[in-house]
Amino acid sequence: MPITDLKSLQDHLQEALEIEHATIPPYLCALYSIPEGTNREAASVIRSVVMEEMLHMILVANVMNAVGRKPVIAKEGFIKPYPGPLPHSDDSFVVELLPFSEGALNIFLKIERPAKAGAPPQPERFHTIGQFYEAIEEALTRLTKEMGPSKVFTGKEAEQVPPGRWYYGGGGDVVPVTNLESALRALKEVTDEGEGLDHTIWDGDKSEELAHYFRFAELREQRSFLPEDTEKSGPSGPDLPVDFGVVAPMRPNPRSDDYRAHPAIHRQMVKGNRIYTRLLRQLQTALTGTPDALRDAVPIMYEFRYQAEALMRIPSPLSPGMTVGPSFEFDQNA
Amino acid sequence: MTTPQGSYDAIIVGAGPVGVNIAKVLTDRGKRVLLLEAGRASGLSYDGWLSYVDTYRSAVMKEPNAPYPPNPNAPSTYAQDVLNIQHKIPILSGYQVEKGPLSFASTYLRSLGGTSLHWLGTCPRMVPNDFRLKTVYGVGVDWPISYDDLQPYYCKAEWALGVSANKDEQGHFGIWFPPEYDYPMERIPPSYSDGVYAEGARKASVRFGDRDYGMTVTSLPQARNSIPRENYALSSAYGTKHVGERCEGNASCIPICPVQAKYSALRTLGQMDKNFYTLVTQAVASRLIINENGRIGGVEYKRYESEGSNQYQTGTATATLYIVAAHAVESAKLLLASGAANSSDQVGRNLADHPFFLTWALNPTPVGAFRGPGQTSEIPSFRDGPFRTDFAAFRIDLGNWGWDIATFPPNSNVYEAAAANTFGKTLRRSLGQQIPRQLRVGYVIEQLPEPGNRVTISPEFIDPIGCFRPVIHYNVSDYTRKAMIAANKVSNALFHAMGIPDADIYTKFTPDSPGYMTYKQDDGTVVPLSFFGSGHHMGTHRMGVSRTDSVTNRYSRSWDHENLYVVGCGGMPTTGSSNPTLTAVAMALMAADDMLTQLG
Repeated sequence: MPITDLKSLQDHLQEALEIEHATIPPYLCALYSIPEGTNREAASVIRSVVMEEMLHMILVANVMNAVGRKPVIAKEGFIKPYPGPLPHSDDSFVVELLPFSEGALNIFLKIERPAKAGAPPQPERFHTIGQFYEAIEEALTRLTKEMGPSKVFTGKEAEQVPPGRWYYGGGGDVVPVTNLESALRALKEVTDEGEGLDHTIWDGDKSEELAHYFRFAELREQRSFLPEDTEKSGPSGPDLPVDFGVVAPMRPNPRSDDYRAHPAIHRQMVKGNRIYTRLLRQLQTALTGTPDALRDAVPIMYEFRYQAEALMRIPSPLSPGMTVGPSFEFDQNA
Repeated sequence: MTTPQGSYDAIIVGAGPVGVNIAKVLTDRGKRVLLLEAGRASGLSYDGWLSYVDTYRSAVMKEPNAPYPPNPNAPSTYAQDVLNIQHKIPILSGYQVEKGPLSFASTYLRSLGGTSLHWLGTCPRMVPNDFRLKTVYGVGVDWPISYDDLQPYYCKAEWALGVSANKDEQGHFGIWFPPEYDYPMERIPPSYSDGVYAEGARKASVRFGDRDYGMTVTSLPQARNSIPRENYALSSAYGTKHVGERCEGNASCIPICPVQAKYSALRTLGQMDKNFYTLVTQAVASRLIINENGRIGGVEYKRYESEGSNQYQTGTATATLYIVAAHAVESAKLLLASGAANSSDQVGRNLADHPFFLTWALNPTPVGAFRGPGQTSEIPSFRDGPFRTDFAAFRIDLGNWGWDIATFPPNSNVYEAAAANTFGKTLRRSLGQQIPRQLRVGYVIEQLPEPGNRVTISPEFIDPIGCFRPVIHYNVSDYTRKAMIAANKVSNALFHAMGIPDADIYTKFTPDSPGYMTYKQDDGTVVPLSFFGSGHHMGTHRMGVSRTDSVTNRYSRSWDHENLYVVGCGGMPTTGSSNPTLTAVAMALMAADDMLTQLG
């Protein structure tokens, strides 16, 4: 069913926000499972992708604020459970929380897979994230034409996260959204960084970086792309060795409930969930009118990282040889 | 291996922050530059940098040179070599030979990027009266340039080094900025403990002579990445993308910023046009060749193949201009070894540091010690004032790393607790009660130019490839010792105003600490003192107005050789109390303008 009115467009943008967020926990689990000083190339790739996913959340939030809808982040249900499909997708694959591994990379590649040339926009039950965004872009353009820009872009400029200030550590930058042109530019940045620009392996940023899909493809093939390589040719450059053997053996899809019988571990998991929930609350504040609150989100991110890494060192009593890991659950009491 | 090719417009000896910033100016104008660097080039790859980080992490002594493995062919002094000189003179254990009477407690690094690999990044400007000390206060000497002369180059240097600060907080004692100017990045946020100090400082006051002095806490300009202002292109770590685009609070600025959010000379090197410069590392300049007409005709260097062997080849490189930027001690050594630029007999003399006087205490409540950059705020209140006729100016650094080098926590706390047979939960509780409350205040004190404080060379002291080791003669005069007495008075006033009882002030000066010394007060009582090195080697080739008592003119050009420049902190006639790298880079950029004029 196509997007026919502004409310439906706003709902779809909220869904986009949930989709972007849904990619972050699996990437963070892989990243934090890599001990410092090992798999440096892989860690750097995953870190750059996860930074850009955070950028995508901001970009979507800017579009939402511009079209008069407040993003909802710090709420039960915003985090979708793992294992599970990407929210609002066609359920064609299951996203899991895994340590850095071949299994994790296969999921990452499915998340970031490029749409086939000519694939239709899909506002519901999308196959690729790109097709979902295409439906949003189409609706945004159509509704702006039908209703007039002043009826669509009703947000306050002060609510927009500005460029060059709070976002760093990854490619691209924040686009403040005030009209159709900037809205489309913001959404294009999201899809270009993910699946590549116009069916190339590049993300279209000035920095000439690979799109996420192809960065992960390098890791799976353990080989780098050369500039002349294409999606079809695959990577033909130098070796890019990875070592799965040194990774923290996190038990897949941690859930705090699984550890109820182990209060000391349960307590540590709850601690992690509360930090993560505090982070969502801080983002909620920042993305609903006070962008400068993003500054204080950063220390919470570090706090979460340290707790996640600590959890990955705790041996799991449920599966000998494995460790516990962060469970990314919303905690009302945070 | 890269080798020099043909003749260059300029040869720069030393690829530290001063040398590479001159190289950047010259290459930007299409001049061909040869950079000769004594040390290794490890920092030139991101992996090389990470190997430094690994070395740091596994080091037992986290001292300023800990991440950078010893290089026998371009040796550096390590902090553990700086012993208490009372035990033995001369000290021969390290690279620098200490002749006393006090040990020169500072180290530097001979490696690509120089000491900017391990500096803290603090970048205050000097105050206008620092440049006219003789005229205003009747001590030291005047500079051949004023603050106003250097001001435009301060602006350029702050952009070159990437300094974070807000100019409206930096107008101390006549420091001014052009109306259209601001620092390239917004200030680094002050730490929590800065706020605790600020509250006390508001109430604190101290009397010197017939004047009462108040105290204020202000943000400290720092060469570390923060939020960029318009038009400033933020830099990532050398050789990789998206790393270090903000300070992450790793709290290891000294000896290494793991993400390179702190400026190092490698960053400038990465911004230079490769078509215009040649970088030759592992090449120790050993002699300047002086032509009959007095011009420099070449630089002789020793190129070693590996750090594992003392085999080397001697080469000579030639250029129109020669720029010695090898560090205050190394530059003096090279000039002395060449018999160059020394008709004034000032080369190597007037060696100064900022003796670093520390006081430490426990705050009544936790201040969040050990978080963030080494320091984020200062008390600038004693950088200038009428007291300078009597004792030295000082800048007050408010440390963020607990008691830091005063006692080396947290290890020292653990040792003490273990010695008291404390363990388990009691140990954790006692550490938790102490460490987060630790306050450490550092006083960066001026030292006057004194001819007896000097670097010399002697055939008796030679390194493995036949270059001279520096021989250091060093003392601290009463002008500076008296400032330490004043600093201690300021410290007590500050701590008391913060509600700290005497029992929680732990400052002590024991005869076994490296910088132990005493001061005889006017009433005849002898009081103990102690200082640490700031790593600010200055004064060994000072600029001046006359060729009879200085090594270079105001453009850092040698009075004796018109195509020779000697640049760096060694050129400073007096030291003020500002960390000197920013000023040295500003002086170097001023010199670079003169070089461009000469080159046409």
